[in-house]
Formats: sequence, structure tokens, C-alpha cells
Amino acid sequence: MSQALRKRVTSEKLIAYLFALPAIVIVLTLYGYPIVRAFILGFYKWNMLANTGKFLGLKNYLHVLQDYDFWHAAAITLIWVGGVLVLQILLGIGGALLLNEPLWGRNIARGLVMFPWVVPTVVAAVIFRFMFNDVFGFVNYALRQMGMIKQPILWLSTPHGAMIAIILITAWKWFPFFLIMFLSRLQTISKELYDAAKIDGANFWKRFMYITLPMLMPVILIALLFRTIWLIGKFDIVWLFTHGGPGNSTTTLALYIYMQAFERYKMGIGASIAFINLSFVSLIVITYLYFYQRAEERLS
Amino acid sequence: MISLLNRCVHKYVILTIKYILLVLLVIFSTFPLYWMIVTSFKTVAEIYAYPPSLIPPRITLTNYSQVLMITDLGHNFLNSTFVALGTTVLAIMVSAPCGFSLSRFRFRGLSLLALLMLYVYMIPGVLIVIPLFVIAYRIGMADNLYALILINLSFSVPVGTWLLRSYFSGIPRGLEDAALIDGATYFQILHKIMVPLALPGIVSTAVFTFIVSWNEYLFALIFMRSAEKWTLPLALATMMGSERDTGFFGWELIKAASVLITVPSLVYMIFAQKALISGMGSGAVKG
Repeated sequence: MSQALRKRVTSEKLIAYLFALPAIVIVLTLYGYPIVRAFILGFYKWNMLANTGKFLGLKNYLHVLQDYDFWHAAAITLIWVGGVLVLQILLGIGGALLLNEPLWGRNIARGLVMFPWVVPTVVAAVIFRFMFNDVFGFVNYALRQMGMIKQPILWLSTPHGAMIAIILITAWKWFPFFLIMFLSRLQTISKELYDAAKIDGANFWKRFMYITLPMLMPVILIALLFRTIWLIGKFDIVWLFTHGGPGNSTTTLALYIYMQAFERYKMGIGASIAFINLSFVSLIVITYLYFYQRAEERLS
Repeated sequence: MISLLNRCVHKYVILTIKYILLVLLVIFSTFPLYWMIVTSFKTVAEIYAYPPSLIPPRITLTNYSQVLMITDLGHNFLNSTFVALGTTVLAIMVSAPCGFSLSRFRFRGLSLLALLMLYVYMIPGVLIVIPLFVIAYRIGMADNLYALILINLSFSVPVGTWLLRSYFSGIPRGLEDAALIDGATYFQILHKIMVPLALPGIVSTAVFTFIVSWNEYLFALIFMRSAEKWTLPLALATMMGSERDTGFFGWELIKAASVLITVPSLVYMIFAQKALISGMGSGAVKG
């Protein structure tokens, strides 16, 4: 019997790994190998045409760490990510609370708020380059109609204007994500909790602070973590909207990596920045996974 | 009596505010899209008119016929469809068995694999693209649609595995044990029981993967060098140019092209809205 059981476990193990094999192969090819290669590439001055490199040791890394533009890009990334996350959390919580109310047309609205996410990033860039145009753009027109500005704002040709615009459009494009995550959490909170609080005389604000927010907190933290990491590496929206400009006022780290590697063909420098970036991201992720696993163990 | 009346009024005021906020939220989400569609039907003079008209006085289709005539969007459309479909099919084929395995078996190696999937799923594309390009360039795959599909698997397989794992976990184990006792093999269980039961989850994962690959820009930009291999996002980005104002193509043509590119995602979205929302709610966080 015990032999049969052992046989069954062995065959189960075989099946389990067999099923997982294609995915393991893909992850190792598309992540494992490139990461090792990026690490090695970071020590070389790489010539794409000859496909050979000159060994430089730590020179690329020293160069990057002493480079003003690298730190500038890091600061730009921080401002952009911070601004986007604050807006998205606010929009996400507000929108989720609203769409959780028993209002007429709620289901249609739930579908409609998904539109920004479905629109291709490049189309979002098209739409907003047109809307933020200083001469005939709709944003300046609307602000003027509402009497908030007298002179048109030069959105795309001033550093501050471009930064504000790119924060706004990134927040617009991906806030549905936060909204849906928060909404699905809100739907699990029992109504009795609110009814009890109402009887005790808690007003809307108190109910929000003492019931809704604590219940949402785990989801907010997870969403924040994932989105921070995701935004640090986000390339397309910024590139398509501003190309990092004017000057380098919206050049984030992801754009800086791209420019070094694929515009100046400095693969070695690009790889070393990518690797610094990856180490930073990994540090956050591993810390998170450590706590995640401990929390899961405590639960089970 | 007065307090009752007061309360009633108060209730309606709050309800009105809620509806106003709801309308504002919907306008905020959809107005840019509306503006794009409206602009694409305007005449050139109308587009640059000040003040801009919210509802166009005259509708024209010339922008569409012109943009289809002078660009190669039809060809780009085929490329995009090929890449997005290829990515979706392959990603599902690879992640379904893996997700099943992760949800059913308890081995140390597997829980490590689950963590690994979560980890790579957080690594941004721009960080792996340099070495991938160097490798692809060396083996002569740099300008190849199949290579693009393969590289798209880097984001679709981890997401797919993670999503499908949670769908498979939701299926009661009893079914599977009963089938095992009846002498079914694991392949039969996956094929005959799990896949049909997890079909909504598989559809939602497929929708998610399709839209993300349809919209994918970075990998296509780096890998697809020759114009006949361009996907739609690349073609549109090239039309728009890098400058603040466009050069060769006027806004009317760019807008018409943008609408054409967005239509498939919108149609897809309308049909698969439920699946999409449930997929996002269950934690698909990339894309």
C-alpha cells in the first residue's frame, strides 16, 4: 500500500512538473537568460554591428552613477510616479464608492469607466496631444470658458506644463485599474456593518474613516506596490506623449534607458542602468514577497 | 413634521449630488474618446476652428477614405491581428496547464514557481529588452513577427498563469477526485473537466492578453524595424511624429486612423466587459 502511495505521489509530481514545464522554459528564456546577459553586458562596451564587446569592468556603472542625467531621470521618475499614484488612488476610491451606491445606470457606468484602459496607449497619446495643444486644444478652451485662465497654458512646450499633462493623462489611462480593484473589495464588505454604524450615529465621514478605509487598506497597499513597480518601468505613454521633452524635463528612467541603448546605441550603458533599476525593483519585490509568504503561512 | 420634511429634502439633495458625480465620472472617462471620434468626422477647417464645436455641424467621411488611401493601415491591421492572436493562443496553451498544476498540487518546487511567476510579472519590459534585442539581432530574429509573439509571451504567460491559477482554485476538488477514482488521467481531467468549468476564466484571461498585446508598443518599436512588419500602434506613432505638432499628416487623418485602431478593442470590450472586469478584480495588475 505504502509503495502504491509512493508511486502515486511520484507520478503526481511528474505530472505537476510536466504541466508547468512550458511556462518554466518560457520564463527562463525570456527573463533568466536576459537578466544574466544584461548583467554581463553592463561590463562591456558593446558593438552591435560586430557583435563583440570590449571589457570595461565597472566603468559603465561608475559612469552612470556619476552621470547628472541619470539622477535627473531618477528624480523625474519619482515626481511622475508619485503624482500619478496620488491622483489614481483618489480617483479610484472616489469612483469605487460612487459605483458601489445603488444608483440607476450604475452597470452602464461601470462599463464606461473602463474605456480609458481599453484605448491603446498610442491612441491616448494622440487624443491628449490634440486636447493639450496650446492653440486649438480643448483643455485650454475649457479652462478659459470656466474663467480659470486668461492666457492659454503652454502645456507641451514648458517643463512644468508637460509634467502636469503627463501626470494627468497617465492617471486617466490607468485609474480604472484602481477603481475595479477597490470596487470588488467594497462589494465584499457587509452592509450590516454600515447599518450598525448608522444606528450608532456615525456620519458619512466617520463611516468612511472607520469602516471603508481600513477594509480597503490591504488592497490599496497591494495596488500601490504593483503600480509603483510597474510605473517605474513604464515607457510607452511618456515616450509617445512628450518624447521626454521639452529638453529632458519628462525623461524618466525607462526613457533614459531606451535613449542610451537604442538611440545612441550604448548597449552597455543602457544595460547597466537597466540592471541598477532591476536591482532596485527586485529589492522592493523580494521584501514584499517575504512578508506576503509569512502572512500566508500565518493564515494557513 | 418640519424635521421629516427636512430629512426628505436632505435625502434628495444627496441623491442629486451622487448623480451629478456619476455623470462627471462618466464624462471624465469617455469625453476624450468622444472628442477623438467627433474630430475624425470633422472637416479640416472645423478641426482648427475656435471655439471648437462639441457637435459637428457637418459630418464628412473624407478623412477615413484619405487615410486608408495614403497609408498602409490594412497591412498593419493584419500584422497586429496576427501578433495579438498568436500571443493569446500560445499564452493560454502554456499558462493553462501551469495554472492548473499550481492550483492542484502541493510541492515545494511549485510554490517557489508561483512566487517566481509573481516576481517576473513585476519586471518591466524595458529592463529585459536590451539583452533580448542583442540576442535576437545575433540570431537574425530581430525583424520578425514570430519573434514579437515570442517576446510578448514575457508578459502574457506570467499574468495568464497567475490569473488561471486563481480560476482553477475556485473549482471544487471533489470533481477531480471522483474522476481520478473512475480512472481518468490528468490530461483527461484538464481537458474534459477543468477547461470547460474554467472557461469563463480562460475567456477573461484571453481578452486581457489580447487587448494588452494589441496595444503593445515598446517591443514592437524595438524589434520591428522594416515598415511592412509594423503593427498598428507603431504605424500610428509614426504618423504622429515626434514633434509637438504633426508634420506630413494632418490631425484629421491621424484622428481617423486612431478611431480605426481603437474600434477592435472597443468591440471586444463591449462583448467581454464582464470577463474583463472580473479579471481585473482578481488581480491582473500589469497592462
